[in-house]
Amino acid sequence: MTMRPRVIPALLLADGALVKTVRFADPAYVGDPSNAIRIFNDKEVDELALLDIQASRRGTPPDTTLIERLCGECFMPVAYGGGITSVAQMRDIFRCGVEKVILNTAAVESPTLVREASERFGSQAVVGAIDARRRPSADGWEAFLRNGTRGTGLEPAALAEQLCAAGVGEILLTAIDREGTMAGFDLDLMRSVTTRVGVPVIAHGGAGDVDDLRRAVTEGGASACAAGSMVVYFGRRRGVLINFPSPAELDRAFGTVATSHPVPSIQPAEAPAAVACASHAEDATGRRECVRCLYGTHNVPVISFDERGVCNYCQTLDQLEREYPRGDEGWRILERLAERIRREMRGKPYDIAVGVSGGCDSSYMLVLAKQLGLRPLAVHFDNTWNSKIAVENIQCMLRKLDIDLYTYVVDNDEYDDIYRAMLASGTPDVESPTDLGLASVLNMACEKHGIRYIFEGHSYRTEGICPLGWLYMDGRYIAQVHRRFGRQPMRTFPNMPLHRFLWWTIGRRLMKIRPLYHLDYRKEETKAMLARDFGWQWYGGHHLENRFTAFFHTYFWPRRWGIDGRLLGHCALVWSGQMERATALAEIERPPAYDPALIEHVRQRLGYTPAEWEGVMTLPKRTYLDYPSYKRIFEWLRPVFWALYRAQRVPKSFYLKYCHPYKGKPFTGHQPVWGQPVPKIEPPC
Amino acid sequence: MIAVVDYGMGNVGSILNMCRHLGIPCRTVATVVELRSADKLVLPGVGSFDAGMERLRTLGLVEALGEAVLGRRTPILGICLGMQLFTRTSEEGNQSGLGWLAADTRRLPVQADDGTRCRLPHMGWAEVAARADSQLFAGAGADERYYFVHSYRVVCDDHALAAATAEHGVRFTAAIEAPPIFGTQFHPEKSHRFGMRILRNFAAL
Repeated sequence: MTMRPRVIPALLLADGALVKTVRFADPAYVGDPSNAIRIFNDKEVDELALLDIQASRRGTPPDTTLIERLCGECFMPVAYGGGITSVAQMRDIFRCGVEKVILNTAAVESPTLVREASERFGSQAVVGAIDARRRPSADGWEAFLRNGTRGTGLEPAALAEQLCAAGVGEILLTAIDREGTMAGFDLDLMRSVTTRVGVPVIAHGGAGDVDDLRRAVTEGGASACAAGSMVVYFGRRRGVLINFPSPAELDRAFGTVATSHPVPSIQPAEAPAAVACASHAEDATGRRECVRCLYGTHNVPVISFDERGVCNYCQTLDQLEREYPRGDEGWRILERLAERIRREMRGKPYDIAVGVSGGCDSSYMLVLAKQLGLRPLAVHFDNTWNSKIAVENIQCMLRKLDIDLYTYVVDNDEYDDIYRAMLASGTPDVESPTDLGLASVLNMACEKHGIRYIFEGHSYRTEGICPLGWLYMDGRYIAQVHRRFGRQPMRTFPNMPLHRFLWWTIGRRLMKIRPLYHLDYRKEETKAMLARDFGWQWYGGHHLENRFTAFFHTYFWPRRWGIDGRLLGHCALVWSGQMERATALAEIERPPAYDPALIEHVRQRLGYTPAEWEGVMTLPKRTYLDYPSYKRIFEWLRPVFWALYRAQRVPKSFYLKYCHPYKGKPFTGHQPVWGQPVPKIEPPC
Repeated sequence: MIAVVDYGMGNVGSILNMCRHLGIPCRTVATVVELRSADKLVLPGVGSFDAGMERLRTLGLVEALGEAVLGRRTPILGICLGMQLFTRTSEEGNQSGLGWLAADTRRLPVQADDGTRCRLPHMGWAEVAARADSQLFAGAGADERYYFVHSYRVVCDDHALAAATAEHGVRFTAAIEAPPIFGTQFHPEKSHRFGMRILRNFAAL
């Protein structure tokens, strides 16, 4: 009945950020601790260890505000270590929702503290941490303090016995030489301690895969394993990606269950789709609707109709359809393109870059790249708001397709500051930094690895065309809004100033390819294929794989702007004949549903009081026209962008939307039939 | 409204966090007066037996708890040490417990019956065998696991008090049900959705 040994993500904190070290040095920033913890909580991991390496190195007291915030949504045991010097501090830490304190420096420097702590809180609440380094000359190891900076002269086993005698209930034994290397645990070190003490020992330092975990227990005698790099990095390139072995993998490793890996089968593209037929036109109270799709004067800021009553968006879709052949011809075009890319990229490690978010379209891009015989590099822009499903989807796709990952993680505090600035601007464009950031990061990855081609997962046939006025983004606009409303400088956000944009598109000649334009892409079938062959999971709606994006689509846009993001996809599906118009209409008449806990999380993480939050949601409505942007420059440079669009350096949608003057009235929001978004009722447990 | 007794010994924060997450109204109580108005109680506990009893005595809560639970029959959920305090005595200390249950708290064995060594404290996740008619475990599925961290166990005179058992060297009491007295040796507030069900069931009593 006793369960398999615990596997504990060991998360390092420094100045409120999540970092990862190698041999206790060179901390690399890997993301937002609260978001990482949420993902581990959603994954139902056994336990968490939080180690504030800054506090222990500098000897500063624990940051209880941070600890409290991190533990608020943690429904698993949490151990905290770093800077603890008194019983009073421990009491405060326990009040935050922490189960165990981890003592290293203080345990040696003031031995009575361990005794006091275990008498007061019980030995099970006190973990003795031993950081051991192999002695350079002689055999054996030496225990170190202050995050590996001060030697004690003591053997780890001797220190472990001392700590146990003083009352610790558990030992966290770290091999400094292995930490961050993913080279496997130091099993000799583990044995030297596990054979000498009776309390559980957590092995730490060197975990690289599940087999290492197994060996720490079966050969090292550990009761539990802590893993750092293994759970924050993915693949050969060590792209940042929160991940954790599945229960089945752990059961297999620890010898409880045995099953085999299913091998994914890659399906060829589908047969051509039927084309939509026109339905009725509607002319009621001055409102006009397209005869083909669902757009109209009531739900789109700028719209015009031809003599047949077909809207300009449908006309653009028709043009795109004529411009990009599909079916057999489309496939031949892609194959020829792939051949050219392969030829050109010979001798380089990768052929193309593919942006991945864990969503359906980008996941399919990876499959398609492999089908076309290309060697993709997956590129991820981590805005530190990933959901569990997002990271799991990225992981399962990359692992089964054997694709390397390049991750760029933006500074969590800075990004939250950008979000606050975007919210304060009063515009509908609050999520545009993520879109622009991904575009930049793709270009950066290409530049770094000598790649010239980028696969974009956009499909006009399933995603439609975003109406003019709903969304605008450019590098100057974001920088200016942030300069006006932000509180801290923009340092790590990969913005796209015009010169960089031009350098990448003209100087580096990076080409953006949208392969889905050439395919009869059917989303439902793709989702089913991804789930069946890769274990990919659906997250309940387009763009909902990221927490902030989910907030944006289910709450911010509908509540503040009356914008229904579902309209885009539904319109495209109706236009392409993949969905009945009546079905689509009925679906978009239902109010969008949001998760109240998610909205609360966004508010709290961004640091708004409930009153301030209401204030932000009800700010006077503004648009990008109220702020400096590149829009005018894009309009002047229209001939240049036309040439770039013809050369596939910028998408046609960019040319159409950004290089022509905005003709409508500034957008002030819609009055949708559903009124306001509604809270989702939680399913009964 | 669930009142979580804050006597300086428990992981009050975690319990409040989970209640809030579940939408269960909750607050902490630390005085005799506050305790009187509670309609449901949680007695958490992280720490040693004697320290726990001392804290309850210092705050004058021993009598108040007795009045509430034994007198007014206010349901109470003891968690970990909280449950152990319901017993008469503990091998961990010299003080007498609340003595509400015909049970004593004993140390877990360091060696199992088959001679294998058991590390103490018992720390980690374990499956439990729950009684079918248990109120706390109502609706529990097959893969339920709970987080344990303890070196002592509750030994009841009458096995019928045990709502669930688990194993660490020996089979021990993982939960008790003697309405209005409930207790879990494991930490529901730290046991993901499995623990959420326990708290929800207790709140729905």
